[in-house]
Amino acid sequence: MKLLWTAIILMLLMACTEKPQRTSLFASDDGAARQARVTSARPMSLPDDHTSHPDYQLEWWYLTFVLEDSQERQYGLQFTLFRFATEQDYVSNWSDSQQWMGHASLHSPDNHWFESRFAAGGVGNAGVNATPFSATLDNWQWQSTTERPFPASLRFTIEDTVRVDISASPEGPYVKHGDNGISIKSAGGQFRSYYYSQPFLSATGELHIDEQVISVSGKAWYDHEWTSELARDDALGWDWFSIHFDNGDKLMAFQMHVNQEEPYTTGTYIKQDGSVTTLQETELTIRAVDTEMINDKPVPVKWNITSATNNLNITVAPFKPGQWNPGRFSYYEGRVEVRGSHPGSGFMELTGYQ
Amino acid sequence: MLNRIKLLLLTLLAMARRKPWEPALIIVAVIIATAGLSSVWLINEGARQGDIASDAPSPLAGARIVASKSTSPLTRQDYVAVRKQGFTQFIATSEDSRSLVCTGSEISDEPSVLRNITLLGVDMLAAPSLMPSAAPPARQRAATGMTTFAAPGVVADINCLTEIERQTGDNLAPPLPVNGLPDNTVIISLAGFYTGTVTPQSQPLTALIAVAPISESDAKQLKDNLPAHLVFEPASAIIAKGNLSESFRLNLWAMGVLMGVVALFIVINAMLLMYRSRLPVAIRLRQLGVSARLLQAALVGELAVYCLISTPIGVFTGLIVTRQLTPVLQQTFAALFDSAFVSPSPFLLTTLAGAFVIALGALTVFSFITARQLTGALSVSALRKPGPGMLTRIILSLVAVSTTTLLVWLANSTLLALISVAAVLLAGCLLIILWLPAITQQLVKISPAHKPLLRYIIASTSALSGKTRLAVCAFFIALSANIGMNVMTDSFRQATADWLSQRLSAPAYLYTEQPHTAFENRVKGVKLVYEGFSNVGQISVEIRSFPGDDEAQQSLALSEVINNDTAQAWQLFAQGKGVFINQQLAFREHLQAGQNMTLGPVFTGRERRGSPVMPAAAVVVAGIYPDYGNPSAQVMLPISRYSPPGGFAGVVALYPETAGAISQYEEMGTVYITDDLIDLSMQTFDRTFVVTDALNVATLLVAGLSFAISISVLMLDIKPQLSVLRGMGVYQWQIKLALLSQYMLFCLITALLALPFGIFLAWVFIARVNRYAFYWVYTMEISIGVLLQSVLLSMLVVFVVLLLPLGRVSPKVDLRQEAAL
Repeated sequence: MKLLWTAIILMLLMACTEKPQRTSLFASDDGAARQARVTSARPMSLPDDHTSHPDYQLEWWYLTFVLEDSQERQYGLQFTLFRFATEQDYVSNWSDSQQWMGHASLHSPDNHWFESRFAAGGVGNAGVNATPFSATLDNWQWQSTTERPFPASLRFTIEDTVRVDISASPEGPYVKHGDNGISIKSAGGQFRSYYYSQPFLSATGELHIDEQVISVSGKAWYDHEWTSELARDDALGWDWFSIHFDNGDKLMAFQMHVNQEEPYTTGTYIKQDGSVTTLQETELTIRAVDTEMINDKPVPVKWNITSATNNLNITVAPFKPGQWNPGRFSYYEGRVEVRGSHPGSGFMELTGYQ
Repeated sequence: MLNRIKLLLLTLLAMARRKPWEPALIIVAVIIATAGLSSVWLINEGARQGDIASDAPSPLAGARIVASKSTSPLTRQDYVAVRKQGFTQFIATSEDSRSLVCTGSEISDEPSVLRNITLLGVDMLAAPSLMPSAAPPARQRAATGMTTFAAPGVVADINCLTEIERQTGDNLAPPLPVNGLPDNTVIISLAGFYTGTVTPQSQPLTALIAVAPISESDAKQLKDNLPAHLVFEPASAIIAKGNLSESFRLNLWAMGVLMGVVALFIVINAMLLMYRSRLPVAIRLRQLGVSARLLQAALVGELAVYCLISTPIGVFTGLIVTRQLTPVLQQTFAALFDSAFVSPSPFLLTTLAGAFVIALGALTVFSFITARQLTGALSVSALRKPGPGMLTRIILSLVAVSTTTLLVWLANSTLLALISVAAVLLAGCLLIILWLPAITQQLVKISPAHKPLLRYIIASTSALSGKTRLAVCAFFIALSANIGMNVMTDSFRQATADWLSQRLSAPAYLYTEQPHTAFENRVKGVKLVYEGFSNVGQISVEIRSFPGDDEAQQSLALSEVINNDTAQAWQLFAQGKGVFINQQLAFREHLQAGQNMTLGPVFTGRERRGSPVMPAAAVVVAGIYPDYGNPSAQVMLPISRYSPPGGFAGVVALYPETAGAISQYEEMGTVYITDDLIDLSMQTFDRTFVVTDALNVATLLVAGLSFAISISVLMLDIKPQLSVLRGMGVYQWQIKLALLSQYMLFCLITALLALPFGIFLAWVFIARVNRYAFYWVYTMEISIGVLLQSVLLSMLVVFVVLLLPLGRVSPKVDLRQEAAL
């Protein structure tokens, strides 16, 4: 009996210290070999690469906003358009083989609104146009006046309750991550993507929540990434941080989780003048320090990020609990507060934890 | 006190050691009862969930946007414009009603044409709520063709295992079952729909359907924004489906209760058998000064331990068996009730609790029965009480029979009909308890004295009858229900066959996709069938055209006509003043021949949109016709009055002058010879009911096993008698044969008693349960073959289960056995 009690207590202890379980987010090994590859032979070229790359399996245009209203109430806003190239082994007279998914999310200190949408490519209600740049999914409209994504206006609704009307203008250069825009995401380099950002965006606009109109302003971060080398079953997810430091510098920190491998860490430190330092795996540490139970599973939401290169030692924590995006592809996406050597604010994305 | 408890415990332990088969057999009885109980409950729960799931309104029944004129169809640009305006609840759909061909089914490898199935292309990607979670958006093509979905009933009807060929467009995989999809429809992604030569130009979008509610203000804004060639149609009013679903659930509930009662009988019987075995020792203990209360507590405690051990095992066994059967049941339920059999979630705690409640209930009844006996039980003879006298038995029997008759007579709802079924069974049980010993005693009296072995068999049967009455009751309930179900099913089969032969009066039928104008020049020898949809009050009704000539009059049997005058009924029908309605409508709306009713506007489409082809009108019910198995209410209109171009059902009755003349129609579609159609229909009928038979046998098996176990326990009691017989020179095989004969005689008497109750039960099922639950009745047919089959099958079940304990009996010449009670 003593043995039984010991076993029960041990099991309880194990349950209390349960490690976050990981599952693959965009897992699909189907046809990856038939898609275009991320290679230095085809370098990134802007502004041409602002548009869509249908030959690659995955692509997204990612916008996150850290906003405040006149009462200094904080808001976290996300708008993302995903594109998937599917293995459609027939010719359809209705749509092409691309599928589009949009995510819109708004966090106020007290509420969360989230909506997910899907659309078939080639029909006309979803897609990205090059000149002038626009990204559309039904009545979700991101419209620029030039071939570049910014300056642009963004209009979208969430759950028929929220209407967002916001403008974003660049106050600095576009930034290519990794090796001239080729971002390596695993030790062997098999996981990689084309990846650039516009971290110097100022934003202003209105949030219409029910009958209430709230004027907001703040900063935004734009990511555009495309690849055929992420959608694999052994890609278990990632932890991604985009941080606006109060001193005007920016940080992109990223940690990839690959099955049977140690997490791979990489990042980009961006000075306020736009100069870039790529942080190699040995130069950046991303360590979870606390978890939050979401859907009865632990999700690491509090992190310590350190780098000797810039004497960086910061703690990143959510500005409120429960910043979970539900839906077919569910993940953590929310606004964070940054304390330590470089205070600031930003966004955190954690995938593969449910 | 402690010493007495210790003495009791040691005694019980010693008895269990000495006769380990007794507790073992009791445990097995309880396991069988609780396994049967949990199986039936789980099946019911699965079917109930499926019924609830299929009861939800179709996600494609919402508001819609359609083209106002066929010359300006709905286009992809229209769809994009609506979505970009923010009306994202609308998804594009397109229909193709051209027939599909299944390249191979369970029945045949020959290609078969799937008629009356609409292929509906839906922009599933735009409505994530419609996408089954099992089908990721990227995988739209299975190995055997495009992935498709359909309601479980449609999947069962199609019954296609291989590729489904489209006349145009890529081939389809057999549909996957999804609850809540529309009838007679196979759903495919719009991307898959528009393949091959099917394009948005050749086959324009049919409608933009709202898959989420649209507010009044949004609807107004949408109407204002729509271009001139599009119109907005609000969601059609939901017409009451009748109380079919509720009745179905009530039936399931009744099935569960029936099994619960059977289980209760089995457990009480097992307990009483154990008590009977323990009683001699209990009396000795009483004589030694152990109090009756302590003694009873010990006995109840012992039985409680057996229940505690065996109940969870039984529940788990039932769970495992049901799980194993689920794939089979899924198909059965889909075919029977057009609803999915959702794999039952193991609501283990509820089932366990239910099984324990039954066990506890049995223990309570046991305590009640034994309490008084034990108080005065100081000798065996003190416990032998005579049964009720003849007068008491007659009075009790009359009360039971008259109460049951009154209940059946008064039953005017499904609930009361089901209660009367229970009353019939319980009255039967009471009669068995009262009369079984008397009947067997009479048999003993008339048995010849010069045949001692035969006399012993009958006398032993008589002795057994007092001890196994409860097991016999459980067996009686199962057997009566089995006979009732078999008579009912056989009557239904016969009625269906007669009805088909009558209604399919033409020698052949053509199923065609040609418009009705193709038959304008072939007026001789053809009768076209038109269909439509309307309502009577809140009931949705199907409309069918029907000719009025002599031949047609012969083919439509009317169960009730106006003023009992068939000629007048047909005259009114031909004049368009009267209509014929089916029983389903008559029972639901309480209509009788000669009454007036208001038939709502008639539409050619099931959705009842657009302009009606006939306005609402008051009509006389000229006659009522039986319409077996049709779940829908139906109205027949004369073809002279109802033949709208859009209502042509694609069915033509052919009356060729020569047999060879049929071939001229083969180029216009598929011609079915009527005899083949009837054969096919009856095959489908038999296939559907074969599993019902299997379920009946399973119930019978549970009761039969319990019966056999009771006998096994009792057999241990009569070992000394058998040894005496062996000592007198009777061979072992003769003893075994004698034992088998007495048990089979016992079984035969029970079966003979169950026969009238089974037949009466069948009548209650048809004239009461079916009438109030499904709104149609049919004539009861009593077939000697069916009755014989039921009785012989029950005897076979008992015979088989008895072989095991009989094989174990090995009477020896040994008189040193303990005395039995």
